[in-house]
Amino acid sequence: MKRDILLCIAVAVSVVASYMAYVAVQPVRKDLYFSYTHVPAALICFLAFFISLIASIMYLWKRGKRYDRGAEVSAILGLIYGAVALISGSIWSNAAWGAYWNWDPKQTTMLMLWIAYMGYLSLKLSIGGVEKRALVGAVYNVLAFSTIPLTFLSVTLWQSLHPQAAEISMSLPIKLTLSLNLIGAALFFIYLLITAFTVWSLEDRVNALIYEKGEIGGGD
Amino acid sequence: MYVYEVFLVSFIYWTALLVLFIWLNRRLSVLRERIAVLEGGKRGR
Repeated sequence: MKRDILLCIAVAVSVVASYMAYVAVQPVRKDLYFSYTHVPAALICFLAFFISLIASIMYLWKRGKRYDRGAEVSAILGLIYGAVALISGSIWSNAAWGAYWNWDPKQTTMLMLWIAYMGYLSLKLSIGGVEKRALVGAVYNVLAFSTIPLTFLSVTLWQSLHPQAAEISMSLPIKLTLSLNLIGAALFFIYLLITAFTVWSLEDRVNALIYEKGEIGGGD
Repeated sequence: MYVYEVFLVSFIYWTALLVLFIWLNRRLSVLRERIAVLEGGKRGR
């Protein structure tokens, strides 16, 4: 029920944000329209990986299975948002800089980040034992998070076509629209995270019930 | 200017979220049904 309320608020905020983005606010720089989807996707991707990092640290500290599940679920969602950010970024790049892929430091470090987290999932899938898988995954996840500061700093460390956040001048209505988009995206992400975590928990419950009934090998 | 590209980016963003939303909710309802059946069977034994 709480999830449904969260979903309703997220949809309402997104609808208002969409109205403001495409009807009410007309930016002078037309490519700013890309920011309404690209920026939320990228920031939510970082948020998801940050939550995954916290869950992994909690696992290493408390050794609770649910922390390992939380880290995994959050990383999967982060990868989906990351893929959307990469694709939308390259379409924006083609429109603004003339090529889909420029090996720009921001694009390259973002791709490295994405590959690092794909490695996290591959690693978890490749290890058999539950305890060992969770432990190795948590350690790898903490190490993989180091690619996020690198992505943020890439714009200042190397010459980049990608603007820094402080360099972009936006009028108040555009900032407000972008903020609404971010709030809507964050609420929707929290909804998806809770739902995904519930699905994974129920899968564990189903497996436990099947085991209790002695149906191993006979279920779907 | 950029109308097609902006539409494409919005389409990709919302389609990804919608697919995820539908898949998770379908999986949730399937699992709840499965648990109800398994728990029903357990009580029946």
